[in-house]
Amino acid sequence: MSIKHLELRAKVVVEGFWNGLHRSPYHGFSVEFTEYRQYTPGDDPRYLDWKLYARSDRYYIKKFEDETNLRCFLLMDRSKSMEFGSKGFTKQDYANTLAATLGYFLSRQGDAVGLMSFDEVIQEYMPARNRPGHLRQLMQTLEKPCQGESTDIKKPIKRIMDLMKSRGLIVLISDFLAPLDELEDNLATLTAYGHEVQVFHILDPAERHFTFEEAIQFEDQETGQLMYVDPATAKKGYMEQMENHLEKLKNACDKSGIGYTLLTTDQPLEKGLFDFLKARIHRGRVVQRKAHAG
Amino acid sequence: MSFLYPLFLLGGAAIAGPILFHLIRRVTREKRSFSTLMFLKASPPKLTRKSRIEHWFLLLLRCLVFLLLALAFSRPYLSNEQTMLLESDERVRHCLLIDKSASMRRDGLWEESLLKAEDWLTQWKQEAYASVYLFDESIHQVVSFEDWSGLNPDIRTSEILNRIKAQPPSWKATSIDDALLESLNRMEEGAREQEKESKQQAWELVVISDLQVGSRYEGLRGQDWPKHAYVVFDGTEPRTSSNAGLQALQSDWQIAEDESFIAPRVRVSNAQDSDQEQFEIQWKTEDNSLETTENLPMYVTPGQTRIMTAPKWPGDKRVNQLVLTGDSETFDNTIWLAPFKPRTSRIVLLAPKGQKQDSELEYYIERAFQSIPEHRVELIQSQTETWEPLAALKGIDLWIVTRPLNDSVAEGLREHVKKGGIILMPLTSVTMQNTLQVIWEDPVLEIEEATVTDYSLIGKIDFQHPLFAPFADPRFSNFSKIHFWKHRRILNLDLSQEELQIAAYLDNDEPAIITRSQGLGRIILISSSWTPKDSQLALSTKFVPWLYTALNWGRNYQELRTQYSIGEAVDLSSIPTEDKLAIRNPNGEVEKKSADKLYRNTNLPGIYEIEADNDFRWTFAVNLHPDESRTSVLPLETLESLGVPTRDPENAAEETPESREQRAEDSRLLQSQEIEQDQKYWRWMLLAVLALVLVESLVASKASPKQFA
Repeated sequence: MSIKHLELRAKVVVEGFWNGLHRSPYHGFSVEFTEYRQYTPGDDPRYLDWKLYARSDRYYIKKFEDETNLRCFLLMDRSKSMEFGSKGFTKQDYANTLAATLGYFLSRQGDAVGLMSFDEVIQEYMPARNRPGHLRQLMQTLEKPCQGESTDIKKPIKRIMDLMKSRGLIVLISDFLAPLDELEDNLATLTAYGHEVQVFHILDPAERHFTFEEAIQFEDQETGQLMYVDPATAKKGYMEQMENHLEKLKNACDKSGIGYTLLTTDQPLEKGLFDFLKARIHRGRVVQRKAHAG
Repeated sequence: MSFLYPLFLLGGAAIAGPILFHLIRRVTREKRSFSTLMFLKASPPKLTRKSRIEHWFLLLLRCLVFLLLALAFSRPYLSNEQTMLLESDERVRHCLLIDKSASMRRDGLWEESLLKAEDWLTQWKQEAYASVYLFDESIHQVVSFEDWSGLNPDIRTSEILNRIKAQPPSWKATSIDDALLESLNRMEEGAREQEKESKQQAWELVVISDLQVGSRYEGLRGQDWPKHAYVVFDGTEPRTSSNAGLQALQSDWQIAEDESFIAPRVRVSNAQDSDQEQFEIQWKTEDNSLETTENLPMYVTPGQTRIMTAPKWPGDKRVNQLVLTGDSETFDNTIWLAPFKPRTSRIVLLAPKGQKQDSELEYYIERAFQSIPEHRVELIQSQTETWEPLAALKGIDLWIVTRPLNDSVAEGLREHVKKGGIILMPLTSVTMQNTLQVIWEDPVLEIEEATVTDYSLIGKIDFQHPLFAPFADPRFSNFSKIHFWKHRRILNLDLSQEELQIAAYLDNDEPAIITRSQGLGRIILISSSWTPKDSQLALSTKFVPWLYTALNWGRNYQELRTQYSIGEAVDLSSIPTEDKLAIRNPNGEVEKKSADKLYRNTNLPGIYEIEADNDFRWTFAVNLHPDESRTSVLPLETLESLGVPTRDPENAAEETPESREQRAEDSRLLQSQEIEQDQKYWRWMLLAVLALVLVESLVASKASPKQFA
């Protein structure tokens, strides 16, 4: 419910975040005319205004305003580790709902939403579009079961850089239960391309706080590896490692100016989104202030 | 506590299962899947003692379930003192049934039966309860249970044998079913009287019989036998099996119109196991004084039956036997034949005065009631206007009124019929109204001509009505083809009278045939007539049979016949006398009897004569029941399939100490089964098992560790 109170026009994003209320400063060839420009060789002769040439005997190029909407890509982690859940639903369910909610809102605003799901390879790819039926197709793709054995975030990031030439929003939803060695560099590359990146880190409360008590064989969902663990002794080490991991990830994001939100599956979804949007507004202001200052 | 099937208790060993599983379960490994092990370090497992049993309560429940199941299957019961006492008071009741039917007259059978009876009686010398009966069609008591205990054991056997010898085989048929059931009833009665003494008994019925296939045994079907009763069939072996029987048939005799030629139809049946095939039939006199030379040879294969016309009955009155020769058993080779006497019926037709050809009503009646040799029909037509000549007529079976009668005749007829007789009255026209009023004793009755477009049909028939009951079979019940062109309607008819019945309706719901009983007599009213101008009734195939049905209606006695079987009752009520009758049997003994009674003493084959004071004479022959000639041995399996609990004579006869012990053991088992049946503790145990399983499921579901989805 809190999402509805947040008006999307609050987004201060240069490229016209959320449809309608803002105009793109970039000119393209579209319906709405903006101005004439003197022809210089190398311009596309298609856009020459021949009528004006007839009147003035000068070559002018007609310029139109481009309706630039946000292009958003949802990067979904589909590895087996996302299938863990202690609350009656898996992290995958939670992530899917989150992605669908985002997709829905963006789509409603007329923005193009694309999807890329990955595990160790890229599983599904849907280009960013905003047309009837696209959103439904996106939802259906989201509902496909997880198959991947492990997580490799580098590949999709690399791929998305190839695919997204114009700037856009990239939402990365994952449990990041993989080594983070090169992640920082990759995320930095994304932001360097001018993309805005938002990371949703989804964790189960049992993973976050290691709430087990019984000593038992633990089986790795991705690798099938077995390990006898007594929580009484192992919990401390786990928590330390987990905190390190989270810290490392958060640092990497902050360094690259990437929004980072940690969501455990017992948190209400709305709250996560609310935090996310608030953070975006905040960052927008920071960026603006920086721009003014600069 | 005792157990019916103690071996099942071994099933209790199954509790080893749950105990073992409770131990083994610790060894099995559980796994928990987790998203990643990257932050985890393996910790050394804590050892638990394998012999330790967890969930003691569950284990207890599971063991209890198995124990109770084993206990329930072993069928426990509590034997108290009373039942133990009864156990020691076990008794056997014996009943000896000896066949004395006609087939036991065969060579040597009766003597063999006596020997067998002596054997059994000697064997039962020390027994306290026994009874002896002879049987043929019915059961004849020789020694009852009370008599048995009253007789001195030393002379008992010879005394009883003497009594048996005093009743040699009769000529009657065999009813094994009646004999068994009746003796069983008497045993039950005897047992009830001595109920206080002993409850536990075995009832042994020993049947000494030739067990011929001709015996009646159908009555045993569906009989509920007491558990402790059994039947021992001790069969007598005939010395020779070749037997053929001769029977006279009641109908289809060849009779000339003037009775100058009479030849009865006979049936010869050869037994299944017979060696003979060639036979001859011959007429004989009672004292063999006159032998006819005319023999009829015939060939009948074993197991077959042939029906044929016997040689012509010789004119000599003394000749009254047909004898079959060629087989080895003589008891069923002679049939007695009484002189032929046709049945007579007298019918009075009150037809209109005048020319016969004018009245089609009479024409059809004359043709319908034709005399045949077996049935003489005397049709008396009368146009008289006074009652006196009619009153003088005797023995009238049917009055047919087709014309209006004057009051004196109608009243006379009405009063006469009240004493017995039938009036058949077709309403030929509305002029019959007056006659109907007088005969019906209802002065308000009116007849009017019904208006009919085209025709009427018979709409509804009461096939329960005696007039139509013979036609009730669907093959004969179609009366719908008879068209009624005209009919008359009776007005003011009180349909609520009890004695009035409407046997048939027309399709417009008006009565077609109304009957009413009046005193002992009856009136049949047809609302149309059988002439072709009124209806197609006379043209229908139903007409003649229906008239004969009307003629025979109300005859609640049987006509005297000339042929009867042994034991069959002779209905004397048709004899027109009110005095006592004298009946002479073949032995020459004379019995006085009232005319309205049944004569049942047809115990001997031969010629019987009835004499009444008013010069009435009737001769009839009594012969062996045809079933007695079927002397092949009845397979015991037939009786067993009817539910008769049989036992081998050898096993029953020779009672060794071992067999007595075995029997005692059997009866103990039987008794404990009965006690267990009464108590039925196993049901409660099964209920407890169910409850325990339920509790076990609940406890187990709570005890099992919660798992992540």
